[in-house]
Amino acid sequence: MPIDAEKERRIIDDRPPVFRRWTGVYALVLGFLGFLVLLFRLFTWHYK
Amino acid sequence: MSLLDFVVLFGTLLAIAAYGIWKTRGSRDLEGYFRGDHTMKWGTIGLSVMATQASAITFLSTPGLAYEQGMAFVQNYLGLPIALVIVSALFIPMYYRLGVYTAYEYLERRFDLKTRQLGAFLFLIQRGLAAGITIYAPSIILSTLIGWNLDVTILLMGILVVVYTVSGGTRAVSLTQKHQMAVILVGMAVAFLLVVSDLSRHIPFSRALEVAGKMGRLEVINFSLDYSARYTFWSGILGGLFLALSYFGTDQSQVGRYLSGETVTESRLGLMFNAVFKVPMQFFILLTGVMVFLFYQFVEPPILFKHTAVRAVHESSRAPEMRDLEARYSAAFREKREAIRALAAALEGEDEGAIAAAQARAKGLERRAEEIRSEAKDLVVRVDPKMEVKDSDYVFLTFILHHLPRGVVGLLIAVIFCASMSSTSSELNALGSTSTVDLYQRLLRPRETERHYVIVSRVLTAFWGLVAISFAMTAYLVENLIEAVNILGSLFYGTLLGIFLTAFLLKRVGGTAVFAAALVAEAMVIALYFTTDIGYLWYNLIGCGMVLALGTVLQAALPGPRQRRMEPAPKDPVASGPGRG
Repeated sequence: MPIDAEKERRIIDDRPPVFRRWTGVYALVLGFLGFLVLLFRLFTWHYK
Repeated sequence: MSLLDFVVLFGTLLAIAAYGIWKTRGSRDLEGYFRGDHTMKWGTIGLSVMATQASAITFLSTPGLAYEQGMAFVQNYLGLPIALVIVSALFIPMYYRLGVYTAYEYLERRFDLKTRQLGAFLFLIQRGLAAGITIYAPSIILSTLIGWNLDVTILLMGILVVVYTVSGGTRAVSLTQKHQMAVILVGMAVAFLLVVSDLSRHIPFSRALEVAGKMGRLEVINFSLDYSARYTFWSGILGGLFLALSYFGTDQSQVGRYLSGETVTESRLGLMFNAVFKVPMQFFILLTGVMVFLFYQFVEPPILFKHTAVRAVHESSRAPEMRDLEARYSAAFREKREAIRALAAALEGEDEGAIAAAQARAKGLERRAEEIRSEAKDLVVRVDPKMEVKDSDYVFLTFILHHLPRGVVGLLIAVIFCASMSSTSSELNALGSTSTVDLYQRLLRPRETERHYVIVSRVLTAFWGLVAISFAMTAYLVENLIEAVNILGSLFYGTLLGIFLTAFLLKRVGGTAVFAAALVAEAMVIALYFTTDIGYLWYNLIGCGMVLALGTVLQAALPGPRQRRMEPAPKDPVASGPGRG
C-alpha cells in the first residue's frame, strides 16, 4: 500500500484555531487552571 | 423502583446497545474494529476521552467521598490539565509521526522488543484489574436494588459487558460514548438541581454552603506539606500530574481514543477540551455529594447506607441490638439537626461566639452519630464476618432511590449503567488490542490475515473480561472504589511513564538500561506500598523518577549502542498508524 504523502502532510501539519501557535492554546489552558486554583483558594477561605 | 423506572432503565440500556450493534454491523476488519476509521472530530474525541475516564465509579463513589470527607479530592485532578498539555505537545505528534497503532509499539521502535513487552505487560496487569473495579461499581447497584447476591450480579453484569464489547468493538464504543457522556452530564445536572431543590425546603442554598463549610466539607485547597496527607495541593499538582500523564500518555484505553482523530489538530483539541472541563466537572460532582450531606442533616439517613447489611442483622438473633442502635442514632440525629439549625441561625446573626459554640456542638454530635454508626458496623461484622460494612459508595445511590421522583430514578440508574458499560468496554477493547498487536501478532503469528486477528482479538477481549470479572468478585475488600482505581493505577503508571519519558527525553539511554531500571522501580514502588504510608499519588512521581534516574546511571555503566534509529510504521494492515491511510 503506497504512502499517501498529501494525506500524511495534512494530518501532521496542523494549526490551532484562533491562535497562530499551540503555545497560545496551552498558555490559555494553564492560565485557566491557575484561575481555578485561585477560585478554589478563595472558596476554601470564604467557607472555612 | 417503580415500573416506570424499570421501563426507563431497560429501555435506555436496550436502545444504546441496539444503537451500538447497528452502527457496527458489517465491521469485520481491524480498521473498523480497533480504530473507528480515523474519522473522529475533536468534540467526539473530547467526550469519548471524558467518558472513558468518567465511569460509573465517578458518578457513584465521588459524591460518597464528598459526603464523608468533603471537597479535597478535587485536588487530585489539578495536575490533569498540565498533563494533557504535555501529552498534546509531546506524545501526540510522536505517535502520529511514527504511525504507531498502540502506545507500546513505539517502545520497540525507540528501545527494543523486551521494553515494548514490559510496557504492554504493565498496562495489561493494571488495566485488567481496574476493569474489574469498573464492573463491580454498577453491580453493587443491581445488588442493592434487587437484593441479589453480589457475586451473581457481578457475573451477570460482567458477561453482559463482555458480550457487548466482543461483538461491538471500538467503533461502537467511540460512537456511543459521545451520546452517553451527554446523558451523564444532563443526569448529573438534574441530580444536582433536585438535591438543591429538596434542600431548599430546609435551608437556603447560600446558608447551606456556609453550614457545609463549618462542618469541614468545603476545604477544596490544602497547601499542607504533610507527605502522608492523602489530598493536598502539592500531591495533586505533582502526583496528579504524573498519574494523569501516565494515564493519558501511555494507557492504551486513552491513547486509542485520541489516535482515532482525523488529524493531529482534532486529537489535540479533544484533549484540550478535557483540560478545561475535567476539573470543574469533578468539583461539581463533589459539590453534589456535599449537597447530599447537607440534605441528610435535615432528613434522617439510615444508620448504614448499605441496607443489606442492616437487614442481615435484623434477620438474625441480634436484631434487638440493632433496633437499640437505630433508636440511639435517631435521637442523636434529632439533636444534631437542632444543632445544625442553631448553627444556621448563628451564621445568619453573624455572632462569632454563637457560631463557634454551635459549630462545636454540631461537630460533637456528628462524632457521636459516627460512633453509633461504628457500633452498628461492628454488630454487622459480628453477625456476618464476611459482610463489607464500608458504605460511602451507597450514599448517593440511597439518595437517588429514596428522594428523587419516579422516572428520574430509572434515568439516573441507566446513566450509571451506561457509563460503566462504556468505560469497561473501552478498557476491555484496549486490553484485547494490546494483547493481540503487542503480544500475539508480534511474538506468535506475525503473518496472518486481518480476519484471523479480529477473531483472536475477540477471544482475548473475552479472556480479559473474565479476568476483570474474577477481580470484581474480590473488589469488596477495597475501601473506596474510586480510590482503589487510582491506587491501582499509581502502583504501575509511574514506571510506565518513566519508560516513555526516557524514550522522549533521554536520547542516550538504551533498551537494556531502561528495562532494568523499570524492573527495579516497579519493585521499589510495590515495596513502598506495603511498607510505608506515603500518599498513593506520590508513587507516580517516585516510579517515574526512579526509571529516569536509574536508566541514566545504568546506561553510563553499560557498553554498546544507545539510540535506535526511529522508523515509521511498516505498511501492514495491523501495524500501520492513523496517518497512513
